[in-house]
Amino acid sequence: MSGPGTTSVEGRPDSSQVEDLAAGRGAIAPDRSRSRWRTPWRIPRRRLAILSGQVALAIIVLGIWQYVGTSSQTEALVISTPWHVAQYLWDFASGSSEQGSWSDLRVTLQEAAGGCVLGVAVGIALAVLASSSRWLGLFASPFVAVVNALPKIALAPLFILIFGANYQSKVYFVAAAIFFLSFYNIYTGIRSIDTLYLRNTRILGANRRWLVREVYLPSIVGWVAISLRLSATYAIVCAVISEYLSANQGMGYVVYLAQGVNDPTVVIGGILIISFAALIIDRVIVRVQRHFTSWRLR
Amino acid sequence: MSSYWLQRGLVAIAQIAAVVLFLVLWQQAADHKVIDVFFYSKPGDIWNQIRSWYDAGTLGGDIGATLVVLSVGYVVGVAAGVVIGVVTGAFQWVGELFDPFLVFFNAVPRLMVMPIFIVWFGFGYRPQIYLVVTVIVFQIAVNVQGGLREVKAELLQNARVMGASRLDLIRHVYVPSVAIWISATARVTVGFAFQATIAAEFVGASKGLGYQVVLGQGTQNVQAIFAAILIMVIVAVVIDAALAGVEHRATRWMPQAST
Repeated sequence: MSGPGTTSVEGRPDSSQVEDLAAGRGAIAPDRSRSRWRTPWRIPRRRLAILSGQVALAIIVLGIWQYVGTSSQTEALVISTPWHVAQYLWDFASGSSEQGSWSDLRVTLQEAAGGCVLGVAVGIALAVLASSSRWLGLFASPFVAVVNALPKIALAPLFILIFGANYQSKVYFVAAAIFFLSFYNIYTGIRSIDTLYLRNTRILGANRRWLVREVYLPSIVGWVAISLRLSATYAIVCAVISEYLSANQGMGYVVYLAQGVNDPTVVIGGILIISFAALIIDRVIVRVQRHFTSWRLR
Repeated sequence: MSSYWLQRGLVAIAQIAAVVLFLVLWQQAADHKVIDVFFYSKPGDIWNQIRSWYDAGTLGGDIGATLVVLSVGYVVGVAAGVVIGVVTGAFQWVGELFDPFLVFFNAVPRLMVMPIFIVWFGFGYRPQIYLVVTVIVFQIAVNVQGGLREVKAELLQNARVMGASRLDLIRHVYVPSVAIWISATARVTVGFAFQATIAAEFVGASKGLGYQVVLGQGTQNVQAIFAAILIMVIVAVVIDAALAGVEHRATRWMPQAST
């Protein structure tokens, strides 16, 4: 009864109109216009209240922190003060800090970026290989599940022992962690491709090359894009944690040294710097993704 | 049907054969000095390492320490996350007030904040548990918020029409919907909690599987690293399988997503 075309039978109301009527929309026009009068005044005032509440909250928290931090010498050695942390951030930014510099941040981000690219590339290659044959997929599935359950962080010491406490060992470790993450995402992504598309394309006369170009490739690109946001943040975490374990440069090393001498200002400041870097990178990725997926229907 | 089981059997045999072949090749390559035992160890050494931990009586203690941090951290994290999620989800203005802070903390990679906790609380269980809580609490809060918002207005109105009081609504509508969200995301959340436990044990512990891995690195004892990772994987797989069972039970009544 309900096939394509039946909805356009003449005289029959459009389904959205029916919904409108059912929900009482359109019938009570005056009510709408009244609310339109109010909104320009009401919403900004509410926004303003919330915004000032947020600022007040931040000031209160920082104020308490500052007060407790300056109340005694021991507290200052444990929790520092927001003022000291701000000073450290300023020194770091202007390059006059003795603990950590832009080059440390650059090293950490390079390890993360290098590992991320390497890991995603290998992840795509093996995911495509594993999903190319049904037998291979069946064969690999328990191994994939086990590897997915493994906390990837645990591999960091292994890479440090094998490759040494240098830049390369971090890149390789980040690559391994990102590989497991992106392999799993892309592999499940490829397997979740709607068989309907595949069959339809085949019926339309697609050969294997066509299928790859028109169905598989776009879907892989989509899954890579989705997993990239997760991967980027995770890559930074992995780089930092492996720097905690063993390094002679990088932000993780700076934080690790400061922790060793109980310097809360640099520990908090250093972690804040990494966090800001991670946040900015995350925002950029979201922007770029939005730019390239704006054609999609939401 | 029988061809299906035949297939499964063949695949299972191939899988077991692959594992055995891999182990034998690894052992042989190490024995004949094709690969360096110092860097890559060998299955026999790894097994001996686990045996020696077992004989020394530290194996159970390390697994136990990791499980304590994981489970206490998870429970506290879920409890705190539910409180934050309910308060920010139920009162709209509180939600709006805390929203930018929640978004900020949810986006910050929290797995790396362990040094702060060590400076604050010293070494031991406490900072480790705090790290696990910090890593999962915001995810839980966001999930609970989502769970509360997903409650269908229709369902609420129907329940009210049938004379449900506020308490009835909480008991029969809100609590089940939040519980479903938590149990449905438990596998992912516990996975994060496990990562956090290991990361915490890397930096601030004297016990636990994560500590054994770092100790192996420090003493250049590669079979200890492999052995600890192997035990971790077993623990992780067992926990994941148990949670998969829980998730299956919790969501059994739900209509299956149509394919």
